[in-house]
Amino acid sequence: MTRVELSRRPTLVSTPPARRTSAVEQFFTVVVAHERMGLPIGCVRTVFRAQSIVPAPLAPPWVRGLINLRGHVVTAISLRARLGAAESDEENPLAIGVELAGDTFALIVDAVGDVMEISTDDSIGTPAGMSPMARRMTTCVYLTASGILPIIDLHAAVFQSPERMGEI
Amino acid sequence: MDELLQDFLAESAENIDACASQLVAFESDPSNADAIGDIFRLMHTIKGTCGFLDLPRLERLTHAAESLIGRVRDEGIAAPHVVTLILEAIDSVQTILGHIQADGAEPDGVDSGLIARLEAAADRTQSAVQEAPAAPSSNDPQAPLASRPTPRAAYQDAASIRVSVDSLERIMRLVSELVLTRNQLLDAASRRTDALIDSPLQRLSALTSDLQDGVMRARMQPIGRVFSKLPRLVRDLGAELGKSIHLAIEGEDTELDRQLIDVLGDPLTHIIRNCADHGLESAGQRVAAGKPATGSIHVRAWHEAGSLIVEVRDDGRGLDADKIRSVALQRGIAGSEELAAMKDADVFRFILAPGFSTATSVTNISGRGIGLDVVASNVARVGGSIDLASTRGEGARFTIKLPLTLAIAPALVVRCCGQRFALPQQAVVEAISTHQNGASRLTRAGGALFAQLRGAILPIVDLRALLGLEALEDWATFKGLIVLMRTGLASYGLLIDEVDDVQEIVVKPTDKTLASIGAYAGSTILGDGAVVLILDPLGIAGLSGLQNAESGQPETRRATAHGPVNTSLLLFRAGDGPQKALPLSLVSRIVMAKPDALVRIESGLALNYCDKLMPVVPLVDITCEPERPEWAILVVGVSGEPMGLLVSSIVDMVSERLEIDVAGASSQVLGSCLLRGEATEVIDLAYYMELARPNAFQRRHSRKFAILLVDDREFFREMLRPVLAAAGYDVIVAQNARAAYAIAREGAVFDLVLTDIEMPDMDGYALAAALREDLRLQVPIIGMDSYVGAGVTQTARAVGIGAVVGKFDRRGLIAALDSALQERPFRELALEQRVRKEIAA
Repeated sequence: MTRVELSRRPTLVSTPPARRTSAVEQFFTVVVAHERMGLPIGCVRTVFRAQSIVPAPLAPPWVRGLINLRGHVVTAISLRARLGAAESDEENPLAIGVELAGDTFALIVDAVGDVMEISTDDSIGTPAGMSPMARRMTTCVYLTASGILPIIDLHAAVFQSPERMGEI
Repeated sequence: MDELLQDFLAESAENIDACASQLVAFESDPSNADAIGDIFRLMHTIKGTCGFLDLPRLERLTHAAESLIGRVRDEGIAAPHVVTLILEAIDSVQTILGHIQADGAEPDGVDSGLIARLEAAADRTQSAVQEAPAAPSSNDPQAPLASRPTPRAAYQDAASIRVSVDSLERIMRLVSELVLTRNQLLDAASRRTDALIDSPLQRLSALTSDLQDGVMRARMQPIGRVFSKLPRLVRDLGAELGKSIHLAIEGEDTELDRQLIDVLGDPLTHIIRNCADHGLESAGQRVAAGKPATGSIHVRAWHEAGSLIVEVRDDGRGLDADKIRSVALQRGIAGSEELAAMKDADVFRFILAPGFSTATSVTNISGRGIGLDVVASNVARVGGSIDLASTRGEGARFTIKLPLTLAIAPALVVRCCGQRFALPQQAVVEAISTHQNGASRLTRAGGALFAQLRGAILPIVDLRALLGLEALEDWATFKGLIVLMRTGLASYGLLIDEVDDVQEIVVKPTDKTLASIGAYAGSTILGDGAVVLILDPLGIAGLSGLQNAESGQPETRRATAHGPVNTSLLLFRAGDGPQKALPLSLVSRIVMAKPDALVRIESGLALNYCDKLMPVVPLVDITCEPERPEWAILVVGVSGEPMGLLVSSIVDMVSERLEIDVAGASSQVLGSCLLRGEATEVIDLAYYMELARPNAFQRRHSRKFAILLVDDREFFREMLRPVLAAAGYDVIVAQNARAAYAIAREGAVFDLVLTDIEMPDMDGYALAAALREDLRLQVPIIGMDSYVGAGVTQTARAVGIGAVVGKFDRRGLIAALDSALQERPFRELALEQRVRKEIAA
């Protein structure tokens, strides 16, 4: 299994973006179905290529299966499926190891980008026209020099069930 | 502070948080019965614990809150003001818990206002529910429990140190990874030989195994940790119920994985409460029943075959099978015909079913219909099981069986549609091929698959269909394996492709998305580094709707406590149907008869046999095969009145342990079983005897003796009854010694007792002794045994058994009966018994 350890260890723990006071936060950018999105860097542990994903029958469609990540079994979540896009046919997809609620999960993405520093002042409301699915998977949206950057709601991406999503 | 109190506070703090969030979840979704059930259970647990920790204020409050939650649960609606009220109660509970944490005692004061409002709301919510209002039993101010001497267990050793569970878990995880890495290394090294590497690798491998073993041991704790809480529980229960209870504990040093120690605590408490509350009678009732006034509860733990067994036994009134039947019927758990056909032992299991409680009044200890079902499901969840046995008037026995550890478990790695899955071996009984002698064991009925296994019908769960992997194109030609699974509540066969391996696996929990599916108990990494999902046998039963598949328990149906007994059987064919069998002892001769030797008589066919016309019953239509040169005739019958059974051909004679698994659907057949791997019908001779000799039963009516036939096995009862009936006796059947004793005590009239010697629980000797000594019974007693030796006969004589005959020695049996009954005219015997009966009345 090839792994790219993050050269920059996270120093800031991600918190919900503060509305009043401005602060600078770091986001790890990924590409999912040709769209760029951000992840709070505090949650990101590792980036790796998934060598073999064992499917978990009966699991919801966004659960790609289970991966052996250095002796730990982690659940692989397809962000494409979460955003309503068709699955890629990549056999060894790129995965981000994220830590959430004490457990590690793997988010399957198409590509990884840079770590971006963004001021919380640059937060804009969710633009009209974003798909309801994408809305539910997003905590907030930033306007950056290189375009719009929606930030992925990790908790929603990993745990939210469709019934719940209907209510929100 | 008291160790118990500490535990309680830590646990309650968690529970109460969960309570609040579950309540809110229920409010938003009233169809979520699980949420409200959880809240109810959590509140019940806190209340129950308060009871024996002596926290009266908290207990009153939680009792009132629980009653209201109970109503909400029953009605499935939560009005906002009710939810607010319950949340208020939860807050108060939290405040009181905070005080106890700080001061070690309940704060002064009463919550009468809040309790009154809770009760009022409960009454208002109550619509048609007929139940006693759950008011707090007393308002007596009780002295708060500031500090009690902590019960110190003797097993605690000064040479030990406390290690936090977290660090132990961390070491365990690291060791698990080390084991996996070692396995990969060994795998890689096996592909080439390198002496330089091999020797240190061997050593590394051995050390890793030792390390793993050592860590496992470090996690083991003596079960005394759980047992040490019991004396106080029992003492407080006794005080509360006004009963005097003696508690005996054995096996405190038995070790168990700490994770399982936690699992065991609740079930044990529940069971002991149940014994104290429902099992043990009041002192007055006990004395009246001739028992010591003090009831006793016996708790014992020991290791057995890789499992931990904990037994809880009381000497109370025992379980009331009839009452359980009526409640099961009332609650709609089972139908009346089904219940009537069930054995008491099976009926007892209903008390472990959800929503079952026989207590007629709501008491503080138990009787709210939760408890034992939760116990059973918690134990089943960790791969354990609960058994129970009971004798009316003598007490009940609960047996909890748990695996020794959860972390590392042997598992069967199976393959289905190319994917591997692990099955906990704890639940696996055996794996068998779908095919036998070229024919599939699978059958399909009502849209479900079944397998025939040793004559029993086993429900089949097709793993590929369950997991939606791919459809089974044709079950009749599918070749694979059936893994026979047994969980606490169900038995079924899991249909898979093949078994890959048996491995010791390290169980890793899955995240909650996968856990909520219900099919998986966790995941693991195999020696080759591959991830496999661990199937949850109980969850699969639930997903397949087999939770209460009592029918599928072929193994337990006729377990013989006293070893296998082989029966000699004559196998034959009659027409196209399945192979048939008859116990060889019933057949006195086989004659071959040409079709023209058979003569037609008024009632059918007859054959000239020993210069007499013997009636012959054809088991096959002889007109179908007019060209057949000769037919086989089995000569059967007793007391000089033989009859013949006409069959097509004799197949063989076998001596096998006979277990009839499927009861006969028609009156000609006693039942079916597998003999020589072929489904075989054991025919019912009595049916044919009545056909051939319709008058045989009436003819001897004037001199009919009655025989009490005692045999624990249905097969022999069914075999002997027609034999005795045909020999001109009336037969009273008892299925075990205790039943026979009860029949005799009630004054039933019979002239002779014919009893099996080897029976579980109470054998023939004990029965004879009891009949002779307790009931002063004078009638002859004849014993039956598989093997008759001099020693047996001698022992038999000592307890008043006149003769012992071989079970299959039909002639000897009839001769023994005749000679025993010849000595005295039967009327006199019957008269003697009638007089005794009147005196007794």
